[in-house]
Amino acid sequence: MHLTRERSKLRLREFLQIGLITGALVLVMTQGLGFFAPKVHADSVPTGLPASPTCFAPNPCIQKFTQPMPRFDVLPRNAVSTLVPAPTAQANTTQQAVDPALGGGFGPIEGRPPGPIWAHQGFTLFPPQVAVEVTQEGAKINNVYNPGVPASLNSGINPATPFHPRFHPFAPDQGPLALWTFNGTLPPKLVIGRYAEPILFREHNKLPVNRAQNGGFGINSISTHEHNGHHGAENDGFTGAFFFPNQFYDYHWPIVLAGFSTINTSATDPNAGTPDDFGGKRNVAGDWHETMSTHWFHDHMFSFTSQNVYKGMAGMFNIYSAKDRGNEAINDGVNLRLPSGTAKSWANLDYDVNIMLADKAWDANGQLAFNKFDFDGFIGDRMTVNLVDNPFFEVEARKYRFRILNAAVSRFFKLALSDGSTMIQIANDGNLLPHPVPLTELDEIGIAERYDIVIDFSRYAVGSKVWMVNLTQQTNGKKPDKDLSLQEALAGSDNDPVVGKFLEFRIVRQPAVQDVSQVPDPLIPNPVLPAVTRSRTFEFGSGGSQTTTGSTSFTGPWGIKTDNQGDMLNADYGRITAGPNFGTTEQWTLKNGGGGWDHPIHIHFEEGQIIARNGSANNVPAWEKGRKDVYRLRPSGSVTIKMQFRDWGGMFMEHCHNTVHEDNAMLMRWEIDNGGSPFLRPLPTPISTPQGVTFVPPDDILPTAF
Amino acid sequence: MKMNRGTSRVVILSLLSGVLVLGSLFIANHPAHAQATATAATVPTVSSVTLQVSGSAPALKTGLSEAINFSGPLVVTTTVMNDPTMGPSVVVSLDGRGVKGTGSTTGTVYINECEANLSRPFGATDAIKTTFAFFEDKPGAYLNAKTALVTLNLTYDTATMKLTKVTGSVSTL
Repeated sequence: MHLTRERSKLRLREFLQIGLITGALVLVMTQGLGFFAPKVHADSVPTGLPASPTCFAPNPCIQKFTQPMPRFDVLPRNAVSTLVPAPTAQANTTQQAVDPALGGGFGPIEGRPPGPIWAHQGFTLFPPQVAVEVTQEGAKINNVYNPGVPASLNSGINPATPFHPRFHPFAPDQGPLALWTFNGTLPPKLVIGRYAEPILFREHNKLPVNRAQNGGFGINSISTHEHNGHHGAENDGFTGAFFFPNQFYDYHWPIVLAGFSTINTSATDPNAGTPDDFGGKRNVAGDWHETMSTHWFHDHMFSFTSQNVYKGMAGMFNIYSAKDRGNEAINDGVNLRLPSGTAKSWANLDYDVNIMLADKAWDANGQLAFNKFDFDGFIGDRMTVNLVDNPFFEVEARKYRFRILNAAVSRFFKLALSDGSTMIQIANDGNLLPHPVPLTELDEIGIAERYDIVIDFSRYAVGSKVWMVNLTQQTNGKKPDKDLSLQEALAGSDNDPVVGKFLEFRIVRQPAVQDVSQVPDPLIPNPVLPAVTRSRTFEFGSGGSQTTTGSTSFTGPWGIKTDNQGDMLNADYGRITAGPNFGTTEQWTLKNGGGGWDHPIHIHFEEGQIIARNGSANNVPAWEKGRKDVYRLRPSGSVTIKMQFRDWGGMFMEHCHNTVHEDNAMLMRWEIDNGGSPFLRPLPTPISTPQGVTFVPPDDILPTAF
Repeated sequence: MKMNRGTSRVVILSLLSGVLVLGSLFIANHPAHAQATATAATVPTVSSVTLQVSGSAPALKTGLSEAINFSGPLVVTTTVMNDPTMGPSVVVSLDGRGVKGTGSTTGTVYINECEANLSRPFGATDAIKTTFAFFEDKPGAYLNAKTALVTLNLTYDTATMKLTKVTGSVSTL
């Protein structure tokens, strides 16, 4: 290449032209084509995008309640011996050639950080007994759909019929760049697990090696958070422990009761148990008051969680126990006999239904669309349930349990039945409540929160219908606009298409077998935690600033101020913000410092108990009196919780689960401190590349961390 | 590949201009940046009023064998946040667990689970309709809970953002 001096003399116009081309190329290379999507006013729905079309010729236009809601797709539980290569305590660093698009050279086959620090804690004590092997890949047709129930309990869906990756039969299939899911297919995936049966969850990254091949949003490096598992940090889906295309990551989920190392260690408490395969149970160590039930798992890639989860990287995980057996007939004085079924010893799904709520938007071609340039958040204009648009679900005239997950990016939902009749809330964030709470309108369910409810359809005549209704109008990612009355919501909202009916229950028959399920009181009382030894304060707000540079830090509008000291800091997963002592109980106050915004704050690893809202225990409603892992702050509000840090070590996170806020720097790292033994203090930060993971010292440790 | 100084200058200038253009585009496509940095923490205005509410739920509406008469205290707490960028909004918290229902014929006592936190736009007045579950005061009765409607009319002093008056009643849908 040779340019003359004359030609190198650029005029301003040429300079700008080259600049525009260069900029455009860089944008396309780094962001995909979505950057150039048309923009409309920020407070319209969907955020910054044109309304999603509902007519795709030659199909009829999409109407609500014209397709069945699919049950989740139950992932196979295989023998661990089926995994090749066999799982190892430390990351498998066998080398492989790295695709040139990822920098070439050689790198490890497993993306988990290598060495003893990120080795599976308890791998010997809790060796994996079940293998669940998945991929993360672009959309394709599902030919192996397993709903876990017969078609009669899945609204007539024939699982043998290929299941297309589309939001409605009258909408086009999603392309492999638009929708990325576990195994690349719909419906969303469900893992079945039980206490004391450790799972090895092996995830293969089969996403495109070229980052620009993302349909406009999303990134091909991933980290999967088991929300909210009580296990070591190496299995938590730490935001900086991400892995790349052509790698896998072994997550070891031991499924243990919190306190197993100090409470009921001889496993003599009959309430602390796990179901066996023969209608009985066996005792396990730990505190049964810490029994968990409804988890989910989702991508947690640093600064890309909103895009990747929106793109489809989310599933659910039902955990069964002696208390929450998944069999409503077993009457042994321990089993709560919640609605589920009777055919199997445990984990009956007949009348136990996972529900994933997520608002979406799609472009003129019907492909999933997202606006990643509004840092308030993203609101979609199409309501999906289990990733299909406004479906119906056939039920028998009996009690059902619904495990409802808000998997939206920024939207809150407030749910009611269209006739205003009662639902009974039994769990919050995967934890059965101390007492069931009868409600006609659920509280606003924040992003990542899970509400388990029971609806008794026996009050309806066969042939009748009732609808689930969203009462909350929300037109931007900041917070809900307003909660409507049931009557108003049923009339719909001109400003927000997601207000109103979104799920039609069709009562199709009397129960095939007698409903023997119960909703007893009490359910699971709260654990008694040791006295608080330390208090910390975290203030979540805007105006964040950054004090560090490098690949672990990010600059964005959001931040967290710690212990009323210093600035509101942007996210840096190399910075240690808090280091609670192993085994101790701390009191954390989470404050909304951002005026009228709302932030649902998620704390990884340990469940907390809310002891005050806005400074008073009287402000804690009945449905928040159990254990939780997501804490809505509400505008100008605060939440005070207590948590015990025990059993496992490593680095974890705390962040806003409005994932746009999270991605734009409202996230911090904390880690367990044991004074240096057996855990390091502080832990080195993993730096992930396709060629391998290296470690660097933390680039910042806040003065009140340890 | 060899490049002379002119070529290098072109490349550097192109990259520099690309960065400038990108920066401009980024800022232009960054609506939250200005909003977020301009948002300042403000102190919410909290007011609380306890009113006595009453009303009746006819048997025809509830499916019970008798009408239920309600009476008791309802605590209404308003938390107004006057965000400098978003304007004022309010969370209306209700605690009506002190409201008792009584069967008009049998005298059966009904309790309830009337707690709510409602997001509402702020104005001089607000009319709220929300529902709650009520059930007999005996073990397990929550399984057969019925629905009541509480209607509230709130008046605020828009200067102080304090709740000045609430009226309300209990009925059915």
